[in-house]
Amino acid sequence: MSQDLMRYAARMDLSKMGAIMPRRMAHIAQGAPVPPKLDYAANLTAKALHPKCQKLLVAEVIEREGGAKSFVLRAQEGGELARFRAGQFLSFSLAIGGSTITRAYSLCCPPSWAKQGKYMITVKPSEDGFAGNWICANWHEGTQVTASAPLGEFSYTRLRDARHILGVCGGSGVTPFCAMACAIAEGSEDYSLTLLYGSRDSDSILLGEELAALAQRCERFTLVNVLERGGGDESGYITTELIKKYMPEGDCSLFVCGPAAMMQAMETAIAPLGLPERRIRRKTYGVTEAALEADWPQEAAGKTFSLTVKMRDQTYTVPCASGETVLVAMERAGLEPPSRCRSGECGWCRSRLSAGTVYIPARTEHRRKADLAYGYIHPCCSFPTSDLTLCVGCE
Amino acid sequence: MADSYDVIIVGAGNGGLIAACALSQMGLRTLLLEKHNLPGGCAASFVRGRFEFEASLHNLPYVGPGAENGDIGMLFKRFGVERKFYPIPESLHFIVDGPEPFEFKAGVGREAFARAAEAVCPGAAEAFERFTAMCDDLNRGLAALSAARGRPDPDAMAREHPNYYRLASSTVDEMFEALELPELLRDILSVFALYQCGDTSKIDAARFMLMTDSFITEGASQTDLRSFGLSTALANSARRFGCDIWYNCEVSKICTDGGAVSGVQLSDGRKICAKRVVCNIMPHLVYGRLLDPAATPVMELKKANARTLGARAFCVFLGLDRDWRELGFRDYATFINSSIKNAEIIRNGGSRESNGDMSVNVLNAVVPDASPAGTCIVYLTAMFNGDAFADVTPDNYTEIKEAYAERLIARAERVLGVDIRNHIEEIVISTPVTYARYLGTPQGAVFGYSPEDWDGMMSRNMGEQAEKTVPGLYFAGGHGARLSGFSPSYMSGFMTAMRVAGEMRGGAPA
Repeated sequence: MSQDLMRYAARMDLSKMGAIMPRRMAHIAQGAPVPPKLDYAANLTAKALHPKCQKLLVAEVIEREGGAKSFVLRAQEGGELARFRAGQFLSFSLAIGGSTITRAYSLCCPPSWAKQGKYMITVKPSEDGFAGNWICANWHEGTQVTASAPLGEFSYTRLRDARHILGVCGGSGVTPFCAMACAIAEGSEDYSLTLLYGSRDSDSILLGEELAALAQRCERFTLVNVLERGGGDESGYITTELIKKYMPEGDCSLFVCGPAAMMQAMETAIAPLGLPERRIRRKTYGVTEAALEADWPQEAAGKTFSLTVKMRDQTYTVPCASGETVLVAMERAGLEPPSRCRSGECGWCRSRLSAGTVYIPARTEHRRKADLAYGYIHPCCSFPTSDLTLCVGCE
Repeated sequence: MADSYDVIIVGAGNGGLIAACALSQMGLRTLLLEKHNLPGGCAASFVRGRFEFEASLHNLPYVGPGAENGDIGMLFKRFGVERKFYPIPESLHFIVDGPEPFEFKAGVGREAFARAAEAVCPGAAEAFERFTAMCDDLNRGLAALSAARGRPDPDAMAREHPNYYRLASSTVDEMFEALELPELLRDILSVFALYQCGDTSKIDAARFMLMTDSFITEGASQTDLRSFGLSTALANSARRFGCDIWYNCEVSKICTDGGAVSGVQLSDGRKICAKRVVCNIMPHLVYGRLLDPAATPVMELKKANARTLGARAFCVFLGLDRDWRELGFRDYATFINSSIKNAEIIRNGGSRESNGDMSVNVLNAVVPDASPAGTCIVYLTAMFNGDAFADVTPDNYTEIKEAYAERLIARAERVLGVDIRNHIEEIVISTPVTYARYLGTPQGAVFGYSPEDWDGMMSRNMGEQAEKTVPGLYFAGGHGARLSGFSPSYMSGFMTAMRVAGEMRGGAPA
C-alpha cells in the first residue's frame, strides 16, 4: 500500500510549500492600510433594533382612569426609536431616593410610532405601589428618562400562533393588548384579537375609552369588558365558561396577562379547556411577592438575613428581608445590579449563589439547566431562606 | 494592586475561556472581561417556555467516545470540566434535493463509511483506503511537528513526512485528483467541507482531512447541558484557578504605551493595566474599534482588509410539541443541499435568493432529555458565504427573517417528510443581524475569516511566526490558525495561552 500510495501522493507538488508565504504576502499587500469596515447593513440594523439604552423624555402626560397616567416618550436627541413588536416592554431605570431600580412597562401604542420617534406607556399607581406611585408623581412634560431597548416575548408570532388570539387580562395587563389592538387597527400586524378584559366597575377600566374606540373602527378587534360589579358586556369574573363563550371557531391562541393573583386564578380557568401548551402564552404583571406563593417556606416569615454581594472587586454586606427578592434587597441598599424583566424570564440578573439557600417560585423558574447545575440564580425572583453570598456580574 | 494583572483576556468565548483556564492554572494573575452577562460567546443557550435551545454547537469532535480521548477531551480533563458527552451515531448524512435526488448516510468508523460509500459507488472502498492512509500520514507529520515543539528540521520533515507537506500545500480538489478518487466519493467527502462553509477548490487539504477523518474515524458528540454547560464549567474552573471574570464589562480601548500594550480601558472609563492582552474577538474589531490606528502595524491593517469574511449564519430554533419520531424525523443530523457538487453549493451560498440549503439537527435524537417528554428541539441552519443581509433595515427585518425561516421550514418538511408547522410551540430565528448584535462581527460573520487558499491553515500557521502585531497583543478564537468551530477555538485559546506563558518566562514579548 505504501509504495502504491506514494505513486498517487507524488502527484501533489512538494515544492508548493515554498510558495505559501510569498503568496500570502502578495495578498496581504493588496489590502487597504486603513481600519477595517464594520458598519454593514446587518451591523447597523442590529444597533438600531437593540440599542444598549434609550435616552427619552416625557413629551406628553395623559390622565387616565383611576389616577393612572399615560406617558408619551420621545428620543432626547430626536429621531427614530428602536422598533418593537406589539406586546413588548421597556425596562426603565429609575433613581428613587438613594436607590436605582428598574421597572418594566409594556408599550401600549401602535408599533409605527417607533419610526416616528415616539412611544407610549401607561402606569397605574396603585398596582405597582412604590415605583408606579413615584412615576405618576414625578414624571412631567420634559422629564428625562432612561429605558432599555424593547424586550419580551409576549407577542404574536406568525409562524407559531393561531391567526386568532383570545386575550385574557386584568388591570395593567391590558397594556400589551392595547398595543396589539393598535397594531391590528393600523394594519402593521395581521391577526384577529378578541379581548376578555376584567375590571372592577365601569370607572376603573384602564384605557377603556381608547380600547372602545379601537374596537369601534377595527373589525378584527373585539372588546369584551367583564365587570365584577356588573354593567359591562359581561358581569362577574372571567371563568372557563366565559372563555369558552368567546373562543373563536377553529384554531385559536390564548394570551393571558395580569397580576400574579389573577394569573393563578386563570390557570384554574384555562385547564378544563384542554388547549395544547403551544396555544397558551402567559405574562405575569407586577411585583413578585413571596407571601403570595403557596409553597413559600413559612418559617422564613418575618426574618431578615445577611446578604454579602461581590461585584467585580468590591464586596458589600446588606440586609435582605425574607419576603423581598434578593434583587430588591440590593437595590434598596443602593447597589446597581443588572436587571430587566423582573419576572425570571430574561436572565439579565443571573448571578452565582456561592453560599446560602433561596426559595424560587415554580412559575418564575426559567433558568438554564447549567445554571441550576452550577448554582446560578435570577435574583429578581429569588427569596432568601438563609444568609447569602452572591457574585453579581462576576466570578 | 487591583487594577493591574499579568494578562487581560477580552471576550469569554471558547478561546477566551480556555486561555483564562490555562493562564490562571499556571499561576498568572488573569482577568477575563466579557461584554455580555454570560460566558461562552457563541457557546451559549437560551430559554423559551419549556425549551432550552443550544445557540451554536451541532457536533463536537475530538472529545472521543469516552472521557479520555481526543485533544478537546484532554483539555476538559486538564481543567476539571466534567460534562456528559453523547456520541452522534452518524458520521455523515445528506440528502440532495435537486434534479437528481440522492441520499447518503454512514455510521461512525472507517469500515462503516467505506461500506456505505461502496454501496453507492463501486470502487469507492478501495479509493477511500488511499484517503485514510493519507490522513494517517498527515497525523504522523503533525505528531512529528508537535514533538519538535514547532522547531522542526525542515529537511528531515520533507524526507520523513513528505505527504504532510504535500497535503499542507494542496487544495482539497488537488488531493482528490492526485488520489484518483471516484467522482461520487469526492462529492460525498466534500459535504464535510460544508462544516467550514468551505470551497474544495480553495481550502487546504490538510485542515479538511483532519476534520473529516475525526468525524469518520472517531465520530463527534453532543453534550448534556447545551454548550452553555461547557462554558459555565470552564468559567467555574477559571475562577477556582484564581482568574477574575467580569461580565457586563465592555472594553472600549486597548491602550498602548511606547508601541507596546499597556492595558485596557473599560466603557465606564476605568483603566486596567496589563502588559499582555489576549483578544478573543476578531482582528476586525480590534483594529477597527479598540486599537489606535496609529499604533497598529500597517501590515496588520492590510491583512485584515485583504481577508474574506467567514460564513454568516441563519438559524431557526424550534421547540415542537411532539416526540421527534412521531413527527417523522429519523436522524440527528441531515444536510439538505440543492446539488451534490460542492462548487454549486458554494456558488448558491452567496444570497438568500439562491441559497435554500440547510442542515437539520434534532437534538433529542442524541440528547434524549434535551426537552420534556413528548416534545423535541429541532434546528434548521443555513450558511451564507456572502453578505446575504445587505438589504436589511429595521423596518423590513421581521418580514425578511420570517419569510426565509418559512422557506427553510417548508423545504425541511417536504424533503424529510416531517410535520413542523402544526407543532411549533416555540420558535426563535437568528440571522446575521442577531450575530452582529451579540458578537459585533462585520456582517454578523460567525466563522472568522474564510479559509481562502492564500489564508488557509498552513498559511496562517506560517504567518503567525512572521506577522507581528503590537507587542503584548495576542489573539485567540475562531479566526485563528486552526480556523473556525468549537474545537479550533478551544485549541486556539490553549495555544495562545502557551505562547503568552512562554514569552513571560522568556522575558519580553516576541
